[in-house]
Amino acid sequence: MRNQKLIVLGLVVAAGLVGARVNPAQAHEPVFSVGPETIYADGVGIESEFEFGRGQDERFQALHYEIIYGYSKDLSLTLSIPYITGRRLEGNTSSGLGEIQFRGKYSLFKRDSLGAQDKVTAIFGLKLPTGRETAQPPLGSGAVDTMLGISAGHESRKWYRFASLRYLVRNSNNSISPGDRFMYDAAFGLRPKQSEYLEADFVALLELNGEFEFAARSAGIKQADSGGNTIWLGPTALWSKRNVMLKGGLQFPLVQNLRGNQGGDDFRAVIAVEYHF
Amino acid sequence: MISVLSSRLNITFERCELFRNKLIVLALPLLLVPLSPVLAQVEEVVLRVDGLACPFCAYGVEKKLDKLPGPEAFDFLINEGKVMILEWDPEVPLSFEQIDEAVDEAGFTLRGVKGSFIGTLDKDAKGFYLVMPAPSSQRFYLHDSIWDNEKLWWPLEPGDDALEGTEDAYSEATLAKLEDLLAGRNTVKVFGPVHADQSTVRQFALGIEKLELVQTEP
Repeated sequence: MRNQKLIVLGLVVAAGLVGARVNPAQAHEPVFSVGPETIYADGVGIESEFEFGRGQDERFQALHYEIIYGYSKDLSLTLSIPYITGRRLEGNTSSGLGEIQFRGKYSLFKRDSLGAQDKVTAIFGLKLPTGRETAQPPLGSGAVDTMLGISAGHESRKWYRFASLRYLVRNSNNSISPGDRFMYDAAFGLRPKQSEYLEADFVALLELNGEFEFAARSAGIKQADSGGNTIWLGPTALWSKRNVMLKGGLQFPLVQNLRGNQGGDDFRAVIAVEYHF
Repeated sequence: MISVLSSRLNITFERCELFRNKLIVLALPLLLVPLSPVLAQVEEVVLRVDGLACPFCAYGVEKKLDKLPGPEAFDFLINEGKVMILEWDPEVPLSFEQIDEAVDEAGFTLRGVKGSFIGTLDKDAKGFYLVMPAPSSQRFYLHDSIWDNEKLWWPLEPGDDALEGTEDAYSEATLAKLEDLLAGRNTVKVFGPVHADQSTVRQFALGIEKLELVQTEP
């Protein structure tokens, strides 16, 4: 029973990593969700990111290394390689390679005006079972997960607003099937000073991110201590100059409506640097 | 010590003066020789680009334009939605298609082009042309820049008046000035919005916002 609980908890946390980091951020975009931006055609960018978080039951910190490629002006592809530097769950600690992800964004709609751009983009992703599921706590789910979503945004010289919806289909190769996850996000931003090219540029955002997770199942039966809805809220900031961007954010759970006996989250944070060649 | 240094400095200064005077004497004949015009055919190009919301986004435009054979130096006025191409390779003719494609691949929309071009004047039944020096030899059909709306930027539709070559293409003052400059076989500089004739693609029209004499033919 305890093992089953640990498996469920491990799966939840593993999916949490996937859910939190399905964020192929390019240009000015939310830090904790996905914006509609695509990198320019044949553009190449790299991003290095450190994330950490703490909850009642677990602590984690991870490094993510991403490479972004603009296959065309409408299609951006990202390879994300996470290394979990430390996860602690109920007295156990593990570290190692996480679950490699391929992600993509395809522009469905774009409208340009003076100093502003409106965009709608389809998002898709694939998570590979490269993390050791046998680690204690697990570093991966041992299965391939897929993600599909849509993101829309309005970017202008002063104001930013974003919204996205994503659905994560989670699979398993053991007796417990983790619940799928539905993510819903909104972000609002402000550029206090309309800086020119080659000047340092700063944008402040407030992000609201919801994660509804269906209960895990074993032989078709819902697992009691799994699933629920969490809504995160917190500030993020983007600082850039020409082709370098620093970004970071901190979020706290505004709403935690978790089924059964689950430890909640205290906070999560991200700091990252992105460079376009 | 100071007096020694001072005297040495004075000597050095005197030697510099002597050297400078010799340089002036040597250079004087060169100043008397008329300089052949080192003219940039395309002096400056201003692109009106929509969608430029942030400096980080604009980097893609710089990358794409930098790969084109013509542009050699850039600046951005993001608040005005403008990309300034400050230097242009004089041996490379202006290409709308390449610029439009570069801006499009960067993820933005080109709304118009203005430019400063240097060349000589020519005329036919249709009207006046600005002819670039070789090897480009690009020709711009000239017309008065009389419309004050976005349509004037680029491109015009086939059949638009500016490309019809009628007397209505020029005001009386512009017509007189053009005739005078043409008669003197002068080199002129024209700044204004650039259009491409949709039907031929390669025929360009240039609205006259500023027209000035650069050099008189000896």
